[in-house]
Amino acid sequence: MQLASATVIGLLLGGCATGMTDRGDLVVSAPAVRLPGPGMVLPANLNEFEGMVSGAETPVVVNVWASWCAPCRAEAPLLARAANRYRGKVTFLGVLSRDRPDEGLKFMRTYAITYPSVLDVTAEISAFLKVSGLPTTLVFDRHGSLVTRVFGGISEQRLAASIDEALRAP
Amino acid sequence: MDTGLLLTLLIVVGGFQLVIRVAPPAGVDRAQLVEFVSTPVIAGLVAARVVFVVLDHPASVFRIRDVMVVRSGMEFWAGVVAALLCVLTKARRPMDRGEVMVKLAAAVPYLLAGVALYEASCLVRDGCLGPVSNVGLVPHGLDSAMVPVGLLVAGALVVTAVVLRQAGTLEADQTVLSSIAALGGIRLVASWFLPAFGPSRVERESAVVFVVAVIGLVVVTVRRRRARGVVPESEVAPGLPFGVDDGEDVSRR
Repeated sequence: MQLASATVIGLLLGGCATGMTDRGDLVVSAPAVRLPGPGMVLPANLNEFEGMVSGAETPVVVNVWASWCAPCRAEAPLLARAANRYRGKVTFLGVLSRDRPDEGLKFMRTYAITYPSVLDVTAEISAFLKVSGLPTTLVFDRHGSLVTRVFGGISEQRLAASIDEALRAP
Repeated sequence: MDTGLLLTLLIVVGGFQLVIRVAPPAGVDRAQLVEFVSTPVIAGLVAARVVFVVLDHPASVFRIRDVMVVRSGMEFWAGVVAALLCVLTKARRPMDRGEVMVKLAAAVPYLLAGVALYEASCLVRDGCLGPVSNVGLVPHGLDSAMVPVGLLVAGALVVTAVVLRQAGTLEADQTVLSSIAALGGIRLVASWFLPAFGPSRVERESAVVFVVAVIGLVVVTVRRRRARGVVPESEVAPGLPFGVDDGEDVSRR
């Protein structure tokens, strides 16, 4: 019993989750713009980016990344697997931030990332998405309304839960 | 800054110290036990992370900063194997191995409690989330409640640790094999409820570990029973302790 109670105290040190939500914190709305081709990195301004997200007609996962960022490299295989798993149901779009496009393309080839990325040349997309560090992952529902925003590396469970919530949105 | 690694370390190391203080091991010195498990646990953690990186994104294996991003995953069973190899390497002679097995058996409930603390730290690593449910945790940033699979795993491991600590009838090797089988079984069941974007390595590896540990447990138990049955009481040479023969496991001595 002592062992059990001591461990339970330890478990409580783990903290507890809150019910706060990012839903509706950001709504993307602009005339539809076609996404860049698979595995491509193209420069885009904020208006074009918004058009890509709102014109997708599926939930959209936006990952803001850079090739020099260690947690971005760590989560890249996970995002590549998720994009394959949800192909046709969810759109994946990268936002290459504070990086060179050739380095970005090399990174995408290394980690077999097939979804496209836009190059955030003026950092206006990152500012609009309220990105405070890399990586940041945002999930939008099919209407362009933000479901959740995750700062730092994302876990498989969190990404799956966020996508499922976006898919369930009316 | 990603504080998942720091918080995980604090929870596991602090929690382990707390557990060992509140429920000290019987018959083994507390400091000795901590010293006995420290090196294998560190070796296990390093191996678990490095093997994960090698399997998941080998391009990062020589980048120390990438390897440090523990949140992206650990190859649990590689860690267990590395820790066990570390323990067995410490024992150079068969007699040492018996002694080490006894120490390992004494450490088993505390190691399970340590794994339970690691599993519970899924709260700070965003790794607890199972299926959507009416009852459960509402993760930060989401609206739906989800089954906290990681916390349930931690609870099951605590129960296993308590049961093994109380079970005085098991031999050292049986205790160790039972704990590995329980760990494999619990992680196998958990893997059915945790989302995975591809084939789940956790499911496959846990199933293999569970089956191998159960077979090992059956073999050890049957051999011990047979060894006891082969030498009737009347044929035991005078002066030899009863129940100790060539077939007996060295950990009994």
